[in-house]
Amino acid sequence: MTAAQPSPVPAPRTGFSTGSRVVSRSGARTSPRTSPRAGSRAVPSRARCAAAVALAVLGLVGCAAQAPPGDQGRARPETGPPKGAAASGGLRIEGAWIPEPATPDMSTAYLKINNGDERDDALIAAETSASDDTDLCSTPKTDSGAARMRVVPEIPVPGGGSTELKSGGFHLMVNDIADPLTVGDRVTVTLTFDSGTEVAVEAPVLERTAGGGADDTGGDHTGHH
Amino acid sequence: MRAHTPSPRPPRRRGAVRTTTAVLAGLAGLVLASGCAAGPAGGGTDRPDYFLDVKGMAAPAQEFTTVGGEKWAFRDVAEDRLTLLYFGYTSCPDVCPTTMADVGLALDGIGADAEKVDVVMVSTDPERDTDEQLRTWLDNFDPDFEGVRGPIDEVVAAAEDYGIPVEAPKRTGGDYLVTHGGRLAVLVPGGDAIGFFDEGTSAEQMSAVLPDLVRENL
Repeated sequence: MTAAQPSPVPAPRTGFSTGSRVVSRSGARTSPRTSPRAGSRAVPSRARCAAAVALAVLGLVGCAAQAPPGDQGRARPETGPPKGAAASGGLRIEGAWIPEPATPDMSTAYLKINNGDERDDALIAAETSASDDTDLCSTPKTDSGAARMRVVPEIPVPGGGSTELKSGGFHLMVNDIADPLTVGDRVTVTLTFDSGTEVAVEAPVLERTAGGGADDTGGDHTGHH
Repeated sequence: MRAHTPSPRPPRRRGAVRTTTAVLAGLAGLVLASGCAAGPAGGGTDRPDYFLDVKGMAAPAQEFTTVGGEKWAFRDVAEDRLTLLYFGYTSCPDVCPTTMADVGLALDGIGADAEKVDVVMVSTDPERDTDEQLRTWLDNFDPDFEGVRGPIDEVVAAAEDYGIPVEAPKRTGGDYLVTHGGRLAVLVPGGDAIGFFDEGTSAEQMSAVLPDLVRENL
């Protein structure tokens, strides 16, 4: 688990916002970003290409075209910022994090829910310590293939299986954030399930990338201006 | 007007005016599909699956306005750089900022080649995305990223020309529903699209392809 890894050097305070204005964060690129990607990206294969073909024909791109969640992409050592983990009953939460908001009062929460029980369960509500309004969301495609985020009443977690909340798929939308979140902050995310189980997990605020505080480039981050 | 006169970067917005061919979104999908299934359609090198080569999809004719108030047209994208084009909106909490953040990281990862790449987001929510909001939002990722607005119907039509499905925002009940495009288009001078990054392509993956695209197309 990432929790066992040493803490990263905190990024410089970035994305500072006053009122509705967000000040450009010149320091963002210089912070160390050394975590691996989430395991859902690095799955190039003929199968995926074929899937992309089918989806392109249908005008469907995006979350459905992404590889299924799994650990196959975690080839690199876990050296990045620790993400949140917690468990209650048969439910285990891992990889919980919140991207630093681009729009000051709004962000998302990403995590993976593992259901160790045999019976199906579903996430039916979520709260965070950052705001009073958190929605369960999905980003389905419209008939034309456009991606449109919608609030959903529940997020299913199959018995003995897992569901990953990630960019482009199911996720939590954190609305009306009162105090600006910046990298290094921690937010408590409380998840309520259909089974009655409640799990609280500490989610760090990380720099936003698809993998979450990940460093994909390996080089310096002095910017390209 | 920077849009029509040469000036030092950034940003320069000149380019040859080309004849536009109407390309239906459905056909675009087929073009993409064949590009993926039959191997690279251009460039002459093998591409990873997350990048779809296409043989120049003609630039849409629409003309919009940058957040700085300058005229902007797909045909007039930088003539000495590639342009990464995205259709998104600022109150999008999930995919749009993730895409922009990954593009920023990708450019960080390609050194001097980043100087050969512009980034433009065309708003799919022009009614709510004010110039100021677009500018401050994009500044989160890179002050050089350009924001562009236009009438939503024309934005939808232009996106379709590139085979990127988006729709006009809808009011349903108390909700205001906005869409964003999936893939990120790579435009050459003149505004033709020569390829697309799949939605969800990581910064690292983009960094692996962009230098080749710069060399092959500029």
